[in-house]
Amino acid sequence: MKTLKKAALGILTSVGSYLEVGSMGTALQAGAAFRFELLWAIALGTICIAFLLEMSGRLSAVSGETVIGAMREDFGFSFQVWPLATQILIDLLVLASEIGGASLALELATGISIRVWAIPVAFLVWAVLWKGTFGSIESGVAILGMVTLSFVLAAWWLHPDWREVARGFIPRRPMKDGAQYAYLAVGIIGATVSPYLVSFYSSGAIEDRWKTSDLTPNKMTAAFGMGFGSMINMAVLVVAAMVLAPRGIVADTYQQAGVALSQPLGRWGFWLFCASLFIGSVGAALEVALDVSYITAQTFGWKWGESQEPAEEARFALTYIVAIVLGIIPSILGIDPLKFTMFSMSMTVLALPIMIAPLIVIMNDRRRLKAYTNGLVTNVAVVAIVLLSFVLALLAIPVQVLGG
Amino acid sequence: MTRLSWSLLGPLRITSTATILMAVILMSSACDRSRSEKYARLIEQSAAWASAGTYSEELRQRRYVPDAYVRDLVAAGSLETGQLQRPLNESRDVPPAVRDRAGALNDQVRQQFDNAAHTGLLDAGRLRQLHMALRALADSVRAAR
Repeated sequence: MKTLKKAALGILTSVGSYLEVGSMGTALQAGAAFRFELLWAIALGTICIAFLLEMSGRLSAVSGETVIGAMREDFGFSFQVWPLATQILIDLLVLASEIGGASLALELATGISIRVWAIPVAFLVWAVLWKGTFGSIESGVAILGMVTLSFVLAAWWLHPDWREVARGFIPRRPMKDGAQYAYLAVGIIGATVSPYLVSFYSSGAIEDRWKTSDLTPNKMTAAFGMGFGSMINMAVLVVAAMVLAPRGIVADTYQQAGVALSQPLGRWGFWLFCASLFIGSVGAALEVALDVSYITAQTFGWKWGESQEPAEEARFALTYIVAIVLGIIPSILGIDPLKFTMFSMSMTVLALPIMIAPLIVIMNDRRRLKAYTNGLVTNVAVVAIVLLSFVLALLAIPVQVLGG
Repeated sequence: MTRLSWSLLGPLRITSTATILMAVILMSSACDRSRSEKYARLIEQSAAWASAGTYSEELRQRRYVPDAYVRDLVAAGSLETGQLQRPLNESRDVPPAVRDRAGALNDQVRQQFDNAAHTGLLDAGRLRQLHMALRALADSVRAAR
């Protein structure tokens, strides 16, 4: 019963925090431009991230170490500095996108520029991190994030041709504009397989004091949480394919996409769209800002933990404050959050191999994981994900130039 | 070589092949962009603004979206169509007649947004016409590949 309760909580958290400015933006653009043809990219990204989360959760539950901590121990500080620097850079880009996404949701609702909203949004993120505990942030994001289920409701209401939807799960060459198709595919996978999710999940497992008895909830959270979460993202794509694509609205900006829910959900549609974008972005901003603190503290061996008073872990709190301050700069400069997000997704893909490749070694270390090292399936999965990440990293720049 | 690594070889070959196949599909798709395709996409971007203006005005009349949102869309539409003008006018990828037509249509879309910024009203009928003209032009550019 306890296991089921833990699993249910984990699944709820994953579902509630799945959608954010990057995944929502890429799915909207993909649906608007290629209808259901890019559903496979969401599915592929979800399978990859589910495996990575299961592994990072298992590592923390069995060894009491985070992915970053284990990486530092196995490869040494001089190696660890490079993934750290890369991930901090990526985290800052993603954090800036999320602050921009939340500010843009407020701009859509009020007509007041994101330049004005960026500072209050950043203040909100800081205040929640400063006052909240890991548990309260986790549950708050999960519960509020349920608003994103409105996309699933809308997709169901729109009655898409399910055979055509099913065909979208098979990758194939598109009918038009292959360059944009490849660019969006890489963007979707970049938005789904975010390295911050891996380090955040593993740090969260330590915050929640997971033990080996939590391995079943961990598996269920990774598989079902990510699975149900990806359904929301797929629903966003389906809604865009059913509402925006027939009208020729390409969703290059969130201003164009803001009406996506108005046809299926009437007067509530617009407000639910804004609420989904705002809550999803703020939730992700909280996670990414925390992740910057987690990975920095774990690399340098500082005390860390969101559930402690900031005064007790001043360096930990200072790190996320600096990250938040840096994260508001693009919004204050008025850079379009969706364009910035697409850029940061491509950069994420570029950094992916550096972040994931060490997992092959860490997850097969018997001293650390005892009887819980990777089996055949997880080893094949992690090698395949590393291979895929190398391929995507090679493609990231060409597709950005050709299709972006 | 250990028993584990031998047992990994088969599945790894399959996943490696699948990954390479996917990379080939993506890379060949990415390289398959002719100059006219690039231009057609620019025209579609302009058409998308015309359509977004039409749709949001219809939704505003039904009170499905607030005035503030339409004002924001108008400001963004004016800015983005203004930025499209130069690449549409200066591209060497299509015949001059197509370029002139696309530039003129995009300019009319931009003017609609500029007018709406002053009057507060979008002319949904005119924007619909512009959207259809731009879509037809994009299709003809693609067909002429």
